[in-house]
Amino acid sequence: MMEQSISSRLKISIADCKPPARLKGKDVRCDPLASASIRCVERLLSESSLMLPETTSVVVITKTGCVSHINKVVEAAQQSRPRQGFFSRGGPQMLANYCSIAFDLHGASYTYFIQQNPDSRTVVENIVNSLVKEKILEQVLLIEADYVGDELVVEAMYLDSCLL
Amino acid sequence: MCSNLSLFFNLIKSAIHMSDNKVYVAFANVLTCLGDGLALQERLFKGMCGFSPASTCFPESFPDENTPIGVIKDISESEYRIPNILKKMSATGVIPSWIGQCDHIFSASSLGDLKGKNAGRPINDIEAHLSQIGCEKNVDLLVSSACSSGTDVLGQAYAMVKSGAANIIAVLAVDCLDPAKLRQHLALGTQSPEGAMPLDTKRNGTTFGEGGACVVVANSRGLSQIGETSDITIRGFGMSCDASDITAPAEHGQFLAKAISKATASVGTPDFINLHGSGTPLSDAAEAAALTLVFAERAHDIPVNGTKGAVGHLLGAAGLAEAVISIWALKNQMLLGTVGHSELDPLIPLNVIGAGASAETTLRSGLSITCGFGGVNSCIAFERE
Repeated sequence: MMEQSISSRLKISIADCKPPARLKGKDVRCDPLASASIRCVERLLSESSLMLPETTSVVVITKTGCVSHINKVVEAAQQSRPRQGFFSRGGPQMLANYCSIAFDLHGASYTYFIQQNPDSRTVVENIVNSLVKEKILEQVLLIEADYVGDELVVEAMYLDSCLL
Repeated sequence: MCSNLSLFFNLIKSAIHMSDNKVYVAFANVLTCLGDGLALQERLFKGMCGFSPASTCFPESFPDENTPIGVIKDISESEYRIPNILKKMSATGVIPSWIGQCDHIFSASSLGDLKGKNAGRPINDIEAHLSQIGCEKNVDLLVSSACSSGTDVLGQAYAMVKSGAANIIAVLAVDCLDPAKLRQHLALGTQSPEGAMPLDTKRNGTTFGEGGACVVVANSRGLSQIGETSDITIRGFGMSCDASDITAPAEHGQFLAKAISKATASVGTPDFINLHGSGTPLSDAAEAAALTLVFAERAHDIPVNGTKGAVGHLLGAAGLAEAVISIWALKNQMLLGTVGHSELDPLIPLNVIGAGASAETTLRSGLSITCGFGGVNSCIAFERE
């Protein structure tokens, strides 16, 4: 049973989205969309005074993934140059992984890449719902993160399960 | 978007009810550099290796690079690999022709091909392929958790069937090692110059490969839907994140241990464990540490194996491919040897089944472990009824 739900929304231009200070000393080589996701969660936490339990899972839904990093990897591949800094951080899962690292969260950490089909989002909701019901996930930080034109649009929601 | 999330919250609030649905494995097959189906099973149990030098596989890109890799044959260096691997999967029955009869189709991969309009978007290739083979169902989503993607997509289908939200779900994982990707991995230093030696004292890196797998999970109603029976069930699934580094695992395996504990909660100590066993110094040691945390002294006795020395590390498809191989072990009652392994690292106190030591035995339960970049850990437990 979900006891709490709190949400926050962030819209920021790609150019303005630098790696958050919270990553200092960890790994700042993230895609701007991962930075925006972390900033959105920071906003959520500051607005709610919420403390995230260590067992919180980070689940991201995206239609675009890490576009900036992928473009750099593809460009490098065309020139037969290795760009491992971007390659290993270019997968859509990094949107979730960077949030887990930034907030020291050790629940699940993964991303759903979906298409424009509106049914896909409903299916994702059903899966997360099932994972909570089966007690595979406990608390969930659910994040939607996408490139929209020149902007990054992120919404984060925290759901806290009360195990029966 | 806010209203969507609120709707989701309400769904969650109203959705708690317990279910004792059994979740069966209705279909499981995999394509690797060693082949597919029965041929692959035979070669694996004989301890064969499917690697070739990079200079043979990609002569234009790597004329002097003899690092072994496990690529699917007959795909030219200039071709898109994901669409061709998918074609081979359908042609060999790894993707069943009736896949469209399932309630849902979930997919998993990492970045796929690194060129063309679908670069980094393998879900587009998967959708296009299913459409070409006459499947009218859309791919609902692609799970992305790096090299754990294949395990995670299977576990999520399991949860959905177990909770009663679906009767039958097909999960499809595919990934490729094109020259551009190999170049990135060589630069990252992940590749062993000799080939992966899982859990071996001389291990010095992994060996990447490519391929794909398909598994269909169903409850009893779903099995009837496709006229199948099954005696293999999924019994548990766990995920966690080390949250310490993008590429390196947590040294002491404490978070992987939590995923293992969750996956084995209902089966107890498994009869065998298919390890992630990448052959990198850090990952193998962390995995052994996690097993010791969960099973204490019993960890030294459980037979464990790894397949990456035989077929390579299939990246985003690795977890599902290795789940299929674990299912085959249960079906065939055969423990699989660990190709590439010859001398156990004394710091890894595990009962590793050596290369060529495949043996018939009685197996009731098995566990498959996968770890990935980002510090993700996933475990899934199977049982034979």
